[in-house]
Amino acid sequence: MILDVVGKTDIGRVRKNNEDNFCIDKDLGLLIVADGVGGMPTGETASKIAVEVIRQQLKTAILENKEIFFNEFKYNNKLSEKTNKLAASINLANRVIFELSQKYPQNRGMATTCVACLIDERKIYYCNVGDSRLYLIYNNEIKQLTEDHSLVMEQVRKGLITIEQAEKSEYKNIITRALGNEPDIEIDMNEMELNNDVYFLLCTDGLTGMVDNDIILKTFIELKKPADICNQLFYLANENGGRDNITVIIANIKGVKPKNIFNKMWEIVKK
Amino acid sequence: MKQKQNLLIDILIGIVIFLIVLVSYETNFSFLEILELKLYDIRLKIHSSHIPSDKIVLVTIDDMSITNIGRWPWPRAIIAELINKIQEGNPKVIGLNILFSEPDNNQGIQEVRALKGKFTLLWAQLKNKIPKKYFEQLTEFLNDINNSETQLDNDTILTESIKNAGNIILPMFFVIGKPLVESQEEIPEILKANTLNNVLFKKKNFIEGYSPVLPYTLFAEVADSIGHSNTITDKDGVLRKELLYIYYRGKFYPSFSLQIVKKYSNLTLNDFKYSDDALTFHNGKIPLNKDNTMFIDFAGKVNTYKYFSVFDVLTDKIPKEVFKDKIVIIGHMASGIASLNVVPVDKNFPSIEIVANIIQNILEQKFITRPSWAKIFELICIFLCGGFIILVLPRLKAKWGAIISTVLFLLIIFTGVFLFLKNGYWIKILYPSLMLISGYVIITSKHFLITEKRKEQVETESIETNKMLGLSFQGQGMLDIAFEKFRKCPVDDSMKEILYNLGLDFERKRQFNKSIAVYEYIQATDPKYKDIEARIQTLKTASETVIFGAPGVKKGKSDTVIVEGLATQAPTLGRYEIVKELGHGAMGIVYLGKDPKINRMVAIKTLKFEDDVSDQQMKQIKERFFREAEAAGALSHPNIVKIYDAGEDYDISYIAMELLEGEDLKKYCEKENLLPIKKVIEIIMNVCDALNYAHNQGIVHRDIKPANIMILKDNSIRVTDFGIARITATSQTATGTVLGTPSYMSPEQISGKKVDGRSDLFSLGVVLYELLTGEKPFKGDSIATIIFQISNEVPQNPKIYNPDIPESLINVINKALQKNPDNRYQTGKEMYDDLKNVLETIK
Repeated sequence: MILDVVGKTDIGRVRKNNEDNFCIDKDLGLLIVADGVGGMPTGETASKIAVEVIRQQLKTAILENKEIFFNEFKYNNKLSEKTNKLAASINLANRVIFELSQKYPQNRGMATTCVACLIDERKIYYCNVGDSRLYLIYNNEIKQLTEDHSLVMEQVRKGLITIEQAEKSEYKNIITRALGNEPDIEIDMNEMELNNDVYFLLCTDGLTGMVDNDIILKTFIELKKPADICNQLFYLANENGGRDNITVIIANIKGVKPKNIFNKMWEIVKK
Repeated sequence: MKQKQNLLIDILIGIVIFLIVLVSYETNFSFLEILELKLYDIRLKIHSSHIPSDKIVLVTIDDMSITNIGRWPWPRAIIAELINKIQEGNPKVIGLNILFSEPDNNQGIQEVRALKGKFTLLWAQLKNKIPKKYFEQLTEFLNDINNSETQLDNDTILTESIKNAGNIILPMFFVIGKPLVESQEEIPEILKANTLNNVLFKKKNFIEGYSPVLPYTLFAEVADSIGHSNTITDKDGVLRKELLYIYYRGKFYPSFSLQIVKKYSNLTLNDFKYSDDALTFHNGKIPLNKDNTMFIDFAGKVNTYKYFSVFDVLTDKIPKEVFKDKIVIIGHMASGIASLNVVPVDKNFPSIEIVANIIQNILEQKFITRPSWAKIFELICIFLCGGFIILVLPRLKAKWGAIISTVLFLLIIFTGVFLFLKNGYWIKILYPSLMLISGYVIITSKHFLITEKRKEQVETESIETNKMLGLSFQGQGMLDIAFEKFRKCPVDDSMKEILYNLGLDFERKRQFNKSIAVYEYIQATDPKYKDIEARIQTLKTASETVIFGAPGVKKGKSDTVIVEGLATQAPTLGRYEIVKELGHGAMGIVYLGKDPKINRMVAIKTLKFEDDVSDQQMKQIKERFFREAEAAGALSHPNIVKIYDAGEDYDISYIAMELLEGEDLKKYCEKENLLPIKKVIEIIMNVCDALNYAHNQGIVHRDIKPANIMILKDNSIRVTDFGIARITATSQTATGTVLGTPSYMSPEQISGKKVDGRSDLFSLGVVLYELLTGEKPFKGDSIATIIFQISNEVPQNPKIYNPDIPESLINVINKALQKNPDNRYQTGKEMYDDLKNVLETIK
């Protein structure tokens, strides 16, 4: 398996500080994007802690093969151990951020979104909290794998408003879940089999708020190389206003072993 | 990883089970074999419900006969009479399943023979003395004796009956096994006549017998044939098979049942051909097992066949026709006499009925067999199930494991039963099904036990949580909170190591008191751990020096020490005790602090630098911050807030300054709270004065706005945050607070050019405008609009908001708000003077 991955963060055109953080760890196959929540103090600290704690925990869990589950963590038996490890790490990061925000007044109310994934030979394991997104770009299609935990998207899911309304809503930036807000947190977790020559895009709303999905997809199809795509996306986001910090990780996976017959059959059966 | 290990263990378990089952199968391990035989019995019971053959009639010596005729053994004459009676019905063959191996020795015939002997002797002695005329009488008497003798000589009678019938089959016995010493005796003629000759065996695992027990020679000579009636039982003592022949001294001797069949089918022994897997005759075939036995397919429980009591036959209660062309088997049924066997379908199964079953099987050509492919089939099943439990089961969720195992299990059972019922094929189904069950049970119970174990672990893991959190905090450099977490964990060896490292970290941060606290905490459980004793000693000296050292004003960064005690003591920042939080500033929180040395209350403004900037950059920023703070600290003007101290702690930089009791001007920028014009002018004049002073000292405020101008309780004015605000805003990023609005910024400031004092005067102009009108001169719904307006547009005439503003004051505002700094007031003094003039005109 060949993992070609680039990541970049940019302050944008308007903000005076960058509250985003990201992490690429090829040894672990770990990619994280965290967006310190705007309007709250020290969102930057929160996103930084999130990235560091998650990475450290996964190092302990995967490279050193130590137990990292703790009692507050609800193990999801339906998903593989790796997904659970990732979620447990995010859970711990949440605790760390929360406790720090309680302990130090200057940190009060700090929070961050987080979208993180682990990639290995067979699968991608991913978790998210907040409105940072993970996209799958495959077969000339773009698909958002994560659900945004934002006020408007919850309204959309409940059928209260349409996607179009959501995009125009003034509450677009209000998120309903974030790391550090509460001592315990609900994490969306999932996993999927890899296909060959598949792209993953992890990004903050600084990109998705500025550039339409269609254009993102077009960029992928035209440029192919993650580094080029990345630069182009930043250019587009800033051209369109760059109202928020922009953080993007693009991963391209090649050389995935074809699935065995049993899996293929299973997929046909599922269809 | 853990999952992989589990999988590996599961696969190992699977392999072990598979091997155990495979080896037991190959070696016919008796326990499992017996279990399989029980399964065989169950299938046989389901199978055995066919109609008993009407070709077979059983005549039995039953309890009724015993009661009526007398105790067994009966005189052989009765058997002879029985044979005669049956023979009247013209049966095809009579199997007399009673062995008379010795001549009859009854008391009567011995007495008669003794009498006859004496009489003959007497007659010979008295021959000459007895008159001839008595001879006839005497001869008659001798004849009478002879008659009595003949009548009493049951053997002869029976021999006669057998001879007359001509279709009697008699039993015999062997002792099964190999004799210790090979007998040298001549093989009796009667045996020789009853051997199988067409033997085409290649294999040699036949059952052997010795010491044959034959019927009394007289009977044997006249009987049609003799067959052995040995039986063979399985390991569990159940009779399932018929021993079709026994090997004895180079020859094969057929069984009693086979002899009956032979006679019934009008065959001779030469018509039978024995080969490896079957015994063929004329138009029939008996499949053979490996040991040349045949499975008996039982028709049903005891009394399935028709029984006639011997007594009923003798007393002519049975019509003779029932025996016509039938196979009649005579044997024991009476309790205590009959030999009873355990068979799959019943316990206490009489031998006579076993014989009947065997004969029916052969005549109807319906057998239970092990087909030639049985072994291959069974091995395939075993390997398939083995493959399943080794490779598939460990990967399945418990539910799916159960479903698939059950389906496979049922499939095997169903196949086994189906083949048995349909074709009489016996396939061993125990081994694969046992493997499935044990595989499933062991692997799932192992999973269950392990998950249980994991649950238990989870319960004790609250400690682990704290430890993990602690380590995370320590990794983030949050040592205090890390220590707090660690204190919730029991101090074991690994914890001591962690705590020790925490202590070292505190030392590195020069927080000696805290590292002492940590070491002392370790000491509580292990006073001699590593070198902590020595460390505490050194640290105590070091920290005392620092705490009671120099006043600490403007110490270098590395000398800053936090004297924060543990939870009970008030937190400190630098040398100041934090009393309470006063509020949030643009760059951080403002605390009410106390300088314990001189007991002075101070305001402490904090600002936190992020450490994502490179160390080099960080150093520059900090240097600049402290330089600016120092410069601002040097300002001494009645309208400028006094800076006492600047320092850094916990990565938090702070400034300790004069504590002001009053409020800033924000409130007075609202329409309903506008101050009188005269008052406004006075305030701005004070600020002008302060700015003039500061600019002369070379210090630019950079962030003049209502929030930074305070009216104290004594009505005096203070300008705060000299030189600090902008450094921090540009260098550090108080995240989320997007630099507020740029409403008070000058055009050159917005475009990022170098600013001087005139920029402050522009900002002051904005403040003046706002204080007079309650409106900002440059406003818009977005930052971009405001920026555009500041750079390009002339503000609205303030008169439209407040008509009372004198023209001269408007001129001051206009001059202050000039886009080009060169057209503005060049110094605070100029502006001050103009305002003074305005004030005078108002007066």
